[in-house]
Amino acid sequence: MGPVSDTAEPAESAEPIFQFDSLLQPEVSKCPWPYYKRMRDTNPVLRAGGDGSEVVFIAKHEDIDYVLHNPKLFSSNGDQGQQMAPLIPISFDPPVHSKWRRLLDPFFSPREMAKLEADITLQANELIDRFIDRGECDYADEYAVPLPCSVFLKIMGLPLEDLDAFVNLKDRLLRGTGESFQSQDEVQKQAHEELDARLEALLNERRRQPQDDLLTQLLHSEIDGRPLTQEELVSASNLLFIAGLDTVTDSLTCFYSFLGIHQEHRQRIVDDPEVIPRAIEEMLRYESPVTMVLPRQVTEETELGGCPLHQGDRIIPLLGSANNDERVIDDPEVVDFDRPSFRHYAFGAGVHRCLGSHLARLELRVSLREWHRRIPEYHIPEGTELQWASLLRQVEHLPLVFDRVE
Amino acid sequence: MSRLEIDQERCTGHGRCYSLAPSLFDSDEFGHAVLVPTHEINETDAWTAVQNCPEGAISFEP
Repeated sequence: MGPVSDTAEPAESAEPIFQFDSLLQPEVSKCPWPYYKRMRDTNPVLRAGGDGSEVVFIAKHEDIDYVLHNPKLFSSNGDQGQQMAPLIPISFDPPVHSKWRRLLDPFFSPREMAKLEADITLQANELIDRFIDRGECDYADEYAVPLPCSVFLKIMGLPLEDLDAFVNLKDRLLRGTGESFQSQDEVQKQAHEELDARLEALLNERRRQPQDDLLTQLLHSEIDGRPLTQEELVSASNLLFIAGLDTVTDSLTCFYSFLGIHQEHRQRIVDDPEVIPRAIEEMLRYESPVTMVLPRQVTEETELGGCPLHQGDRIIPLLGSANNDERVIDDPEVVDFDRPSFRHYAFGAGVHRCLGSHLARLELRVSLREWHRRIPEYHIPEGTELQWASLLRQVEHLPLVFDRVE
Repeated sequence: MSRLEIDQERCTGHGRCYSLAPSLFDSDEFGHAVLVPTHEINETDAWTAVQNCPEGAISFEP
């Protein structure tokens, strides 16, 4: 079912060419599919900075599958040129990585996450209560940002009254000045230091006064039969913060900018709420809000798709391209909630599979269910120009109008 | 005799199998997949799990 979505060519060029900083351009973030396709067809392994550059983008599902499943050849060890302290567990390869995941995985298992459903449902409804009578809202500011952020702060044990400050900190951390993604800029470095200081203070507080939260649980955890060092605690919490605070917002704004235009898909969810889990998978595949994973460093001379790779090259798999690769999926440009199956990589693949994927899926499911139960008909006002943030695809302001039916 | 298996070396805990085919799969405390003991394997469910596993960790021989 479902019409072909509006993956129009970008306005300025009929032949979009993927260049080094293309991913930072808002128009590419808004409509990345033609860039991905062109890259798959012409330069699936692209040394995007020209000869001599160490940064290599890869676009085909097959190649990305190979890289993500060969950590010995494509290593996550170290800072990958990002000029920041290695983060637990993402900056480590097996077997060290495996130990960290065995410690962290149980905190984010589906069974643990299921315990949060009632509370997330409550929070979603409280947010909707605030704007439903107005018949319009900024979906990003009033729902997609506060919902996942407050859920996450609660899990971690970070003070909810500091929500705005944490959101601001998260934005500086992830997006910095927005001028480069090769290394951290000053804004990002400063934000990292600020976050580390806040986390250290909170950890010290929890040491004195344990709470029922993840920071306290981490304090009481062991690795190799010993407690975690303060440095390890800060590193792990830092990564959870970076990964947990933004990505569900990205996904929600991607989904609702799609549903706000594609009324048939929206109506399908209203008529058949059972389709929601499949709708989520299909929109995750198509939209791929997280466009790439952190670079993998090549450990020895090798090749990929006939292109030579050198030791030290940093390979960036474009997940959104893999998820829309016509070589492995029929009609990738069609958003079809009834697609029988697809091994999409929206949460990555291999040992670094997104730790928070079960939390994300729960939040997305509850969000879509509660919203469509209470606000079944909504659309983006005509003439709205949406502003897209890049890398982590997000609509910064998403006006929605709706009739009140309750 | 049909055979359904999970390669634990490959499983990284995406959880597609136990979400889509809970009659055949469950999760352990890490969110990794385990088989639910069953006498009769529902073939449709088994194939769904095989086809949706991002790690290719599930094999089925009807």
